[in-house]
Amino acid sequence: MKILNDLSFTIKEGSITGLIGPNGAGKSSFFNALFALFPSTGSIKLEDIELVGKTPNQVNHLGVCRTFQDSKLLPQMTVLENLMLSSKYSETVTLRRVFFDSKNLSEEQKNEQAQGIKLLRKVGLEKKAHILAGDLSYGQSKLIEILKLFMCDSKLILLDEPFSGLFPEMIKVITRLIYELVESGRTIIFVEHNMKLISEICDHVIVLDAGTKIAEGTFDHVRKIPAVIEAYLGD
Amino acid sequence: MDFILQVLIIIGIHSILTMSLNYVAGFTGLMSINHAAFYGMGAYATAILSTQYDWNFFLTIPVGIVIAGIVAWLVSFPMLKMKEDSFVLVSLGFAIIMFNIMQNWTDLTKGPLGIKGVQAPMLGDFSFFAKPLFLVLVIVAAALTYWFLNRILKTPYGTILKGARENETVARVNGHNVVSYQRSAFVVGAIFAAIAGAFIASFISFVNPKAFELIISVYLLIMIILGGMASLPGSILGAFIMLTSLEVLRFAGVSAEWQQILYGFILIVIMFFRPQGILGKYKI
Ligand SMILES: Nc1ncnc2c1ncn2[C@@H]1O[C@H](COP(=O)(O)OP(=O)(O)OP(=O)(O)O)[C@@H](O)[C@H]1O
Ligand SMILES: [Mg+2]
Repeated sequence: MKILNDLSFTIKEGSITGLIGPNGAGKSSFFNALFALFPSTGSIKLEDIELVGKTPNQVNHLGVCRTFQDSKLLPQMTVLENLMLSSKYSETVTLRRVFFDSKNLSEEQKNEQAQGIKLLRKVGLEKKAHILAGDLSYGQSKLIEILKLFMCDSKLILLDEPFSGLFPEMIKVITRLIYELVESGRTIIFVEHNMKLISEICDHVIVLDAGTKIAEGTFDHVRKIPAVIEAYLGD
Repeated sequence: MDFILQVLIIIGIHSILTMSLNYVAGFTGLMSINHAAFYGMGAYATAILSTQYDWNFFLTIPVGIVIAGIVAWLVSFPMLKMKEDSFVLVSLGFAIIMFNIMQNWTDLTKGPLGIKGVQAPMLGDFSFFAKPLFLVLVIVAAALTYWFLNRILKTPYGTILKGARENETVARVNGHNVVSYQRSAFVVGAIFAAIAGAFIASFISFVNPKAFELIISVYLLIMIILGGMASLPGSILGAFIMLTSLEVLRFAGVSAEWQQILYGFILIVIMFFRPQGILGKYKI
């Protein structure tokens, strides 16, 4: 079955692009295709590197990180372990190093954990570092998902509805974190249904409907396009 | 006293098995039911080299390690193509094949008759035949197993193994080549099972295929589920409780059939009331 069709666009480095469209338009599917979780044809390039045909871990290594629409924290691991899992550093820990380079290793591991704790402190969750992620509230786990993005060394970040179901105060916290990610040189594509947030945060908007792009431009531009109005208001 | 030493030695050997199985199943999430096959490979390597070629026990251990490690590495390719339930079924198939090889490759294994006369460990002229000395050796081996596995599990390497257990997609999206971590865990588990096999062969000085059949793997799984998934101390505790209760039941004159029924019952009760086991950190 084909979910996405004839979809083509370019994302500018350092921008925040909103990917919007009705339920079932194919927004999450696009993220999955980019991450090689769905088979795809065509071409998706990060700078000059082709992503189609890579495996999910290769896509990550090339500098892409993401969140999922439903929280994907690992419930039977601690909050800190969840953060560590997305750290690029963890990949450098081989069995050889565990036994033959243990001094450097434990030093590095301490630094990396301190980094995780620092992030938690920033959002006032340092007390939760050692509890199981499954014991977090919904909003807290959405927040930790965003913190994971600071641990991973990325150029491009995909956010799938990072604000859904959140209290306004938490939306502010996460918005601030997203700006921080951009300031540190990352590019962001994010999916969101709240048009007010889209208009506030995004530099650029892409509208999907039934697996195809129906409009693209600034928010004020696309909101006036008849196809978009029709897709949103229904027939 | 002699009897107690014997039980302690058996518990020590089983601790090596349960810790390594927990590394594979509890920490990494690969529900292997062929652990006894690798245990058997180590035991047969020691038994054959010791009885037919007069090799020193300590030199037979690396041979068992290499055989189990290579076989584990090879079978991991088809096995890790399978996920969860299918993995268990492929593991079952592998266990059946290995049992039949031990049973029927009579030139090598002497088949159901087994191999008698496996030597006790010797260092120069010093023999570990006496039970207190053998127990010391087993405790050293179990302690090294604990140290080795615990060391891995305390680093981010262990975090990735657990991540792969919890959600493969997330682990992959976070940049980890899940299958290669699973393969490494499976091979490491097999290696320690082979070490345990060398000890059991030398201790009872006899091996036969029945000691490595499917039900043994199932018992090992019950031990780690009882003691606690994803807990190394839990693995030792599980082996201790199961094996001492076995001796107590035997002493009380409970027949082997009733013992088995009781173990089946224990498994069901744990799954209902404490699925993470006594010291466990992970619910299946
Ligand atoms: N694994 C899958 N197999 C087959 N079809 C799928 C799969 N995942 C999604 N789809 C289909 O693809 C279409 C797009 O789904 P997708 O989840 O990408 O929508 P979305 O734009 O993210 O919607 P929402 O706003 O509801 O999250 C839907 O019709 C869905 O049924
Ligand atoms: Mg979606």
